[in-house]
Parts: sequence; C-alpha cells; structure tokens
Amino acid sequence: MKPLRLIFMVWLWLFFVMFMAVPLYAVLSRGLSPALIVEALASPLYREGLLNAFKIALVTTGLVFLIALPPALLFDRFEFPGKSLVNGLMMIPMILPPFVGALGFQQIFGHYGVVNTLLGALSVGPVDWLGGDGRFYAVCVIEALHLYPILYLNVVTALANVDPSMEEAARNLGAGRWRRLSRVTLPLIRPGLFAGGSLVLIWSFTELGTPLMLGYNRVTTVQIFNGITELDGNPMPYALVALLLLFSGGLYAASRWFLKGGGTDGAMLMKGAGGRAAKFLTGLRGWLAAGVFGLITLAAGLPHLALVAMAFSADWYGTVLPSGWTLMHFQGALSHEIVVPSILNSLKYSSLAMLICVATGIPAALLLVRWKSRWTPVFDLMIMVPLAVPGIVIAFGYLGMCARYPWLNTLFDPVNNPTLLLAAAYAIRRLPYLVRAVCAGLEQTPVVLEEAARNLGASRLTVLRRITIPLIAANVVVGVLFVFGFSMLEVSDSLILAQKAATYPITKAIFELSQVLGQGTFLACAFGVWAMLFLACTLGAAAILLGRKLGSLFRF
Amino acid sequence: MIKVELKGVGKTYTAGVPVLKDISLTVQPGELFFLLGPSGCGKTTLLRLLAGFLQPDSGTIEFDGQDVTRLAPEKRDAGLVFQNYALWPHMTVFENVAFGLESRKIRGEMREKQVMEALDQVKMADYRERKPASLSGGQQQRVALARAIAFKPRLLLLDEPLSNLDAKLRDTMRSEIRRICKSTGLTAVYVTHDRREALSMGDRIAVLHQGCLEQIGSPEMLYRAPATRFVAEFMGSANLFPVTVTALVNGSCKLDTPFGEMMAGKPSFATHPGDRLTALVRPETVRLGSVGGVNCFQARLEQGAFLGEAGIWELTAGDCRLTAHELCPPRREAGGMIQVAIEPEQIYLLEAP
Repeated sequence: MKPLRLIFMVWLWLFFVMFMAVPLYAVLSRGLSPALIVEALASPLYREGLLNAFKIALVTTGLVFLIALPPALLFDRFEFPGKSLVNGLMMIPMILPPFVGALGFQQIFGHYGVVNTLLGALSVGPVDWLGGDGRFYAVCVIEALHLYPILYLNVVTALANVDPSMEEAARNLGAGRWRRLSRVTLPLIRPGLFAGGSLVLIWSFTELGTPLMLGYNRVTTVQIFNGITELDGNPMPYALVALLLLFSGGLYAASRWFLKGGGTDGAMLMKGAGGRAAKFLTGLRGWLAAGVFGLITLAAGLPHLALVAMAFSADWYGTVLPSGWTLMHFQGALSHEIVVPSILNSLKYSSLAMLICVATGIPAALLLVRWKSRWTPVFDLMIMVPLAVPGIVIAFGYLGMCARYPWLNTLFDPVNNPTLLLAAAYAIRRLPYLVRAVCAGLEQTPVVLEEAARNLGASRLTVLRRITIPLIAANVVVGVLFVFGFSMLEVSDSLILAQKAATYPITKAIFELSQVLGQGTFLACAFGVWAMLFLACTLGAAAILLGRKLGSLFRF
Repeated sequence: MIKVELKGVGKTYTAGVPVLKDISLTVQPGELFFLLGPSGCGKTTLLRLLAGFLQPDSGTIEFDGQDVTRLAPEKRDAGLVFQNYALWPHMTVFENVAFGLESRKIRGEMREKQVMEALDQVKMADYRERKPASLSGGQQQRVALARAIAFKPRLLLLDEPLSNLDAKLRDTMRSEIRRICKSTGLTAVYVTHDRREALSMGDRIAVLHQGCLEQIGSPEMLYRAPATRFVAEFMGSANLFPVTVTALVNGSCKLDTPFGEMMAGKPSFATHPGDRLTALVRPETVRLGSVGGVNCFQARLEQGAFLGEAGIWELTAGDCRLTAHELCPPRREAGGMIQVAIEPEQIYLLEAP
C-alpha cells in the first residue's frame, strides 16, 4: 500500500476511535445496562421526558412539512416577481440560532409581551401563551421555523430533478392537479422528503438549546443536561443518552436503507428534451406567491427581530414596542466579565475545530473519491455517522469517557480546560459537511490533471500539494467557513462540555447571562445580536463562494 | 376515430422567433399521419400543441369539429407516447398502464380487462408486475405505447418513439406500431426526423421546415414529386441541377442541362420555352455502363463507395456533379470515363429555379 494513503487511513481510524467510538462505547456500556434502562423507563419523570421529546420531534417535523412544502412547490412550478430574492431569504432561519430566538419569542408571547399588549388594547384579556401546553408548542414552533430550510432545500432539489415528462404523462392520461401531485410527483420525490424529514426529526428530537432557553424542562435532553452535575450519584443520564442515540441511529439507518432501495432513480436522471417552462404568475397572483415566501421568512425572523429590538431597548414591559432605546446593553454585554473571554474562547475552540476538520476531512475525501479501496465503504460510513449522532450524545460521551478512563481524564482535563474536547466535538459533527464539500470538488476535478503531474515525475504528496489542493481550494474554504461559523454558535456541546465560567464559549455565556435576573436578558440579547452578525458574515462569505450550491451541504 | 384540424396555428416562444408559422392541416379519421422534419423545425412543438401542453398564439385546433385550442391536456383524450417513454418508476407496468383508466374512474374488472387488452396488443402481458427499471428499452417502449392506448383515447400522439432504440429493434417496432394503429383504428400523429420511418409507416406525411409546412402528401408523392428543393433533398438523396426549357413536344419537355440536351416528362404546372427550372434525378435512377437511348452522356467516375448490396458513385460531367446508386454493383475503376443514361420519366421538374 502507498505510504501516504496508509498514513491517512491510520490517522482517520485513530481520530474516529478516539472521538467517536470510545465515547460512544463509554456511554453505551454504562447506559445500555438493562437494569438502568428499565429504571429510567419506570420513572414517570423520565418517561414523560422521552414522550415529550418524541412529541416535539413529531410535531416539529409535521410543522416543517406544512411550512416547507407549499413554497417548494411554488418555487418549482412558477415564476413570479422577486423569486430569487425571496428564495434566498427563505434560507435566513438556518443562520438564526433558535435558542437565542427563544429569548425574543418570550418577549413576543410572554405574559406582558407584545401580543398580550395588543390584545389588551382590543380589551381582550391577557392570554397565557406560554402556560400549560403553550411552552411545548413554543418549542415546536421555534424549532420548526429554524429547521424548515433543510426540508425546503431537499424538496426543491428533488423537484428540479424530476423529469417534467413524468407529470406531463399523468396529465396526458387525464389526471388533474391533485392526482398528479399525490400519485406522481410526491412519490417521485419521496427520497427527498424522507431525507429532509428524517434530518429534521433527529435534529428536533435531540435539540437542547431551545427547550432549555424556554424553560421547558420535562424533556430528555434538558433532563440529561441537568443531570450532568450529579452524574456520580445518579447514572440515569447514561441510559437516557443511550436511548437518544439508539433512536436517532435507527432513524438514520432506516433513511439510508430507504434511500438506497428507493428505486426511483430512473425518473431522476433522464431529462426531457424541452424541460419544463415555469408558468409566469403576474399581477396579484405573483405577489401572493412572493407573499407566501415573505410571510414564512418574517415568521421565522420575528423572534430574532424581537431579540434585536430587546438588545436596543431601555425598557420593554407591557408595551408593543420598547418604551425607550439605548446602546447601553451592547456596551454592557461587552464589558460583562464572562463575555469577552467567551468570545476569545469560542474563537479558540472554533479555529481548532476548523484545523481538525481540514486535517481529517481532506484525507477522508481523498480516500472516498480518489483512492478507493475495499475500505472505502467503511470510511464513508465513518464520516457520515456523526450525522446520526446528536451533539448532546457526543458531548456526554466525552464526559463519560473521561469519567471511565482516568488517564483520558488526565489527558483532556475536561473540567478545567475543555479546549481539545470542545474543538473535537465541534469538528466531528460538522465533518460530514466539510467532506461533502471537498468530495464535490474532487469529483469535479478531472483525474487527468493529477495524472499529468505524476507522469511528469511528481510524487503523490507533491501532486496533492501542487495540483489537487489548489484545484479544490474553493470547496475547502467553503467547508471550513461552514465549520467555523456553526462552531461559533454551537449549543449542545458547548452547554455540556464547558463547565467553568473561564472556559465558556459564546453560547454558554449567552445562556448564563439570560439566567441572570435584572438586566441579564437584555445583555444576553445584545450579545446574541453580536453573535448572529458574526455567523451571518461567515455564512455570507460561504454562500458567495459556493453560489447556489449551498443547499447541497444539507442533504444526505 | 376523429378528424384533427389545425387552422392557421402559429406559436412564438418568448425569444420572439416564431417556432410555427400559420400551420393548417387536416388529419383524416383513422389515419397514421407523420410530422417530419429536421430538429428545430417545430414538429415537437406542434405535437405538444395537439397534446395541450402548449397553447398556440394564433389559430385553432379542432378534434372532430370541437375547438380544443384552450382545453387542458388532461381533458383532451389524446394518448401521448413520450420520446423518453416517461414511465413512472415507482409504479409497476400494470399500474402505469392502468393510470389513464383510473383517471377516468374505470375500476374493477373493466379496468383489468382494458389494461390486459392493451398489454396483449404490445405483447407485454407477462410483465405486468415488473417495474419499468427492470425492462429493456424496447419493452419500455411497448409499455409506453400500451399506456397511451389503454384508456381508448380519441387520438394517439407519438413523439419520436423509436429514437432511443437500436437499429434492429426499430425495424420490428415500426411494423408493430403501424399494426397496432391500424387494428385499433386510432387516428395517430407521429413525430419523427427519420424519413425512413415516415416513408415506411405513414399514410400521409407533412414535412416541416423552419416552422413552415413545406408539403403534405403520401410517402410516394413526397419522394417522387416533392414540391420544393427542401422536400426533395430531405426525403432522400437527390441530384438537383438547373435546367432551361427549350421546347415542348408531344407531352414532353426538351431541356438544356449541364449534361447536355435532355428530354423529360411534362411537369404538372404550366411551362413555356425559356423557363428556368430545377431538375430532380434520384441517384438510383441513374444508369451506368453501356446503355443507349435518349439522355445519354459521358461522365468521369470520380470515386466510389461500396456498401455491400449497393454502390455509390460520384460522377462529374463538365463542371457538374452527379451521384448514382447501383444495386449489385460491378467492379469499376475510379478515374475512367463511363456512359450515363437517365430515362426521361425519371427527371422530375421543380418550379423553383
């Protein structure tokens, strides 16, 4: 075997064993004990938590389908004014971290919030939106408004790939609009629906930040989070994490299996001669179509708009708009003792994550695309596994592995300096996206360019350094920006792994600030605005570099 | 069985270049009618207008006197066989073929019977539970045809149905399709760019060129008596050369040609001595070797191509070129002179110079 390839393979194996296999083993070996699982399921508290997690996942996924399908169909079928603009706006929620949105949401629907003030003006008594089941639905709505772009992108792509003659044939045989949709189009895009839907389902099932921020505690993820501090006395979180992992892993495996056995490829690849001309909607109908997109974007952005308003407001209590404006909170946020260190921490963790991703992702992509061997399917599985493993599971696994093996505890020292573990957690969960971006670059680069260099006497390493990497540089940069941007605002891993104030990254600092009474919420909002600006800049850069292909990163 | 009438149909896409200009034609009930032309001539647009996927900018389309110009495709009852077959990969052969009946609320035994009839017609009954992906190209073709006829449409439309098949399969499918059209008695409109398909299968052919109707007629008429240079060349290889009428004698014309003086049959249109016309001579009617009689001249054998059952010769006489096809070609050496003869009735005169 060629030495370079061997080095890459060994490095990949080491990385995955250390940061994926060992932590998962540490969790499963303790959590999968039948006695513990029975105990967890016997406890009404944990049973309710699991049930609620399922309910959140199902309701959120249902909402996502309701939100994403109509605009995806509109986008595919029609031309209307401002189409590409509103389509771009639809992606905004991806970059609006839902857990800071929760702060704004509470301002809008809180007891003395915007909606109740408006109702009060109409002499309708205040409604307790967040009481009773309200908090549950708030979690679902916020998550759905954050996650719908995943399904939207999948569906739009799937629709664009369906041969127009598939629908024309149904029309020709007398099928009306709804029959064409239900019998032909939807079955044909089922892989896309399933891919997007299962990502959303896993994501919302394991989301920690949103329920935590909204104070919805009767859900497994929050129960795990709250159980971490007393882990020595109560091993129950191990069982809960194992259950989360089994569910998401099973769902992921099912979707992979389903996508392989789908058998609808035939309709996707052949292209009709003419292609479909999208129908042009003019006048009112055109504006209505654009309005659908605008409304969704507005609804998704509203909590964050409220967040921005809160960050600038002197006081906002029982009024529709803040009763005064100030820049004080921005100053306050920056001068708070945990804020500036947290920004530095996040920069440190994210940069390291970025480096780890590049060092792992490029070799992985090469092994997947260029240097295929009988190990290729194994590596493929290895790279994609993190998609199925929720952040909370990985973070918990790191703690579990350090608790189990004292020498690892000495090595990583998670309590005092979680830098390496946090960076690894950030990196490994975003690795699939980076590998995908790099693979796309490799697939678009003709092999002959590399062969030409070897023919002229260059070694494999020289070819890599002088030819391959320069040619795929744009894809690597995009992947890296993506890793960096999302690491900066990562929630689950950050909340769990950063245990001392001095090591907090941005997201944990925002969470801690929001828990401080008095001006804390306003400071958290101001800080959240800073963070969102930051993410928008990195993703904007990625979008410019990658163009329209940004969506390809969010597919299976 | 319906009559299809197009009256002054025109279509322009957004680019402003007209795709179809003022097309008027009638397809008789039960006829297998061909739309023939090179790519980009508008024939597929015309077929999509008939299917209802496009609306003309001007003119009307009538099925048996009923104006269907604005009728939605799903209400037209015009079964279309797509070029790429467009079989739904998620449905079995049976489900594909049953779809049109389902749309028309035909259920139970009746549906079963009609689907199986259609599958029998195309000899695919044994494959009813298979998915399209497991069928060969020719089998998919048959299923697509069965799907288009199973619901007993008023009209059958075929969009280059054989273009994705290999040459041998094409030959068998040609006669199959014609047999099915004739046995069901369906009025059918068939789009192709392959003149052999049109000549061998069609009752009548409309030749389209740059969005205009060049000529409509039987295969034989289009081949032997083309109305324009374009049709003459599109329907088969053609020798075209300018001639001048010098005299009219007893129902034949005396011509001045680049190959010398020749006699030809009198054209269908009125001519007078001095008219400048174009003569069409099909290469297979050019006779080579020691032949005598009228219209004989000497030519040089420039080069030949041996095709097995036939030979193609390039000849020059003066500065004019001539192509000849010969069945059972004898050995000939390029570079020599040879005697050439064209019988007067094999010279067809076109009005255009």
